Amino acid sequence: MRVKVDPKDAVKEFADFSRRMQQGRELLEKMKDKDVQIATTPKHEVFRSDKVVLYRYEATAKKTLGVPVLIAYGLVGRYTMADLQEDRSLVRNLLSQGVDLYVVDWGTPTRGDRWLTLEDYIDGYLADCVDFIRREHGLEAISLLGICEGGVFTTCYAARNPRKVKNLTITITPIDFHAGSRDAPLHHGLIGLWARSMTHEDVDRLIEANGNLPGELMSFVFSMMTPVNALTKYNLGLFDVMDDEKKLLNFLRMEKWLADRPDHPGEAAKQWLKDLYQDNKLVKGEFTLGGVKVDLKQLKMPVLNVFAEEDHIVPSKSSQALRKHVGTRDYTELPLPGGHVGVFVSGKSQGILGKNIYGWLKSKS
Amino acid sequence: MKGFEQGNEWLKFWNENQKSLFQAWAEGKPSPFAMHGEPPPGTEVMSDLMKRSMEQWATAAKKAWTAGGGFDPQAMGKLFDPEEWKRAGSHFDVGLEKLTEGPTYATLWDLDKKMLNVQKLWVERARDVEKYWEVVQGAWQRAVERFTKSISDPKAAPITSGREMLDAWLAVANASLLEMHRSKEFLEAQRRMTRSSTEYRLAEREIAEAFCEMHHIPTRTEMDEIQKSMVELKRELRAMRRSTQAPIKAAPAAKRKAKAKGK
Repeated sequence: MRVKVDPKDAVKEFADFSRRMQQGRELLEKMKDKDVQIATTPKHEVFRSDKVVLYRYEATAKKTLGVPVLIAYGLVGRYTMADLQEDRSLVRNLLSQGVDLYVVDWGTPTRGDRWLTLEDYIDGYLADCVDFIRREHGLEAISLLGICEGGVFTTCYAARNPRKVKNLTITITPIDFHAGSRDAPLHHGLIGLWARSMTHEDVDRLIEANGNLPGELMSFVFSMMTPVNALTKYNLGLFDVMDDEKKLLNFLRMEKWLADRPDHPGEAAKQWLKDLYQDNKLVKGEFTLGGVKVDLKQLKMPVLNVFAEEDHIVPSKSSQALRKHVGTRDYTELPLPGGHVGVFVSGKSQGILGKNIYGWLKSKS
Repeated sequence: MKGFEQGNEWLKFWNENQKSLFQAWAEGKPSPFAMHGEPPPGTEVMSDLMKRSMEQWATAAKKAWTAGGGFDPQAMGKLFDPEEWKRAGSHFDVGLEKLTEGPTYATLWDLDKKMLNVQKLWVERARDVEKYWEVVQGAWQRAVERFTKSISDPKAAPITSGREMLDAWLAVANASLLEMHRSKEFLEAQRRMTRSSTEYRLAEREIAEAFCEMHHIPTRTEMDEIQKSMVELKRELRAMRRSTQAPIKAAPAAKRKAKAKGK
């Protein structure tokens, strides 16, 4: 038998447990909702179309880049991850280095948005935001920074409008949706397995019944990748940080972001799941928007591809696949330690991500 | 489940009483619930009617669909057994299948068919949920077995605190659950559960829409159609607006600087 617990140690462990519970209770009692606000960097609305809002961040330093950057997150989650809290914010890191920064907020889709397609988001809303910024600044082209599904949006947009995109940065973005499943750790690439376990008809019926792809369903799929963590985070996970105010606040802010998972508009979700996750059309050159194929060879602008080496949601091989398909030699990869979200919110990555993106943008200016 | 057990007890009690009542009628005796004394007038006629009726039913039951024909006389009994509803398996769906897949006469019994269809899909959904939980339960079972083996291994590093013990258990459980999540068995069980829940929800919508139509309320389908038209109109409007906009040209550098500062 391996279990060799000294009764004295057991009593001490119990005493520590009680102390931590007491401290945690006191901390939780004094915390207010305003303490766990996320995405607090000042910004103002500059353009709106339906539920989509384009924001411009208030500058915090003298501008050092002539071309503004537009951040586009995906529809599976919200852009607030890029600005989780003051000391964990890609947004603040870029602003502090003099980047003129915009972000597009897709809003919270409801049943009425079920008919919106990827064309509406890429050729419609994103295109309108890019044109607005180009017009405001009197520029032919601006820089795009896509995150996750937003990376696919910006990639497709740039491939279709290469003259309007000066630099393309994508982060934790799936390109080859079938790559990275083999020989991977058990918890890697489960979204792909889940998506491919369904038939096209299953997806169609799911959307027909719900209108959209429910955010709760996607949360459940994400939780399958870290099953025990999903089951224990509100007891054991919370207990582990509850006597440390800073850690507790980080935990609560992260949970706030995770809980804010909007529904994915139905028709766009069908394209996302069937065309991309199931049929992998983007790298096959078969993915169409508005009846026109997206040709990745049209990516002729400088491209920076940032991926996480331990990404269990978008395997790094899936992101790296872009290298083979771009039409530019000015292609740079930036592998970062950590997981999918960790790249943006972990303490370790704060000094690396923003600095490297800025350095790359600066080198292209 | 306690509720079902109580339901079954009640059903048994009800059946016994019915049996006694019918037996009494068939034998021309007073009802077991009647007060003591002579049988009331007309008891004999009632008894005769009852006998003939029961003979007719017995003959019909014998001639009822048999295994080859589909309907199993036992199925009817099972159909009303709440324990069977929970189990959501064979007999209940067979009965419903017969009823829902029968011929359609224009709109006659249309709503009833929809209701029966929902029942049928509910059963299928319950069956698939049960199957899903069987797979999940299997993974937990494997985790327990592995953990038990692991803590009994005298060669492994000793566990010296409660927390170490908990962490060891969680690591084993996590690995077992992940293995399960990747397995074909789990993915198929999950797919079937999602699909049958989806079909159930859609069938439920048909009934809700029938109710809406009856009460002059717009249906989900009608709302979807309106919203689709709206999205299409907005799409056209956006394309028209874009086609009428002047092309964006790069401004001279000095003008660009002034504009950027002004913001």
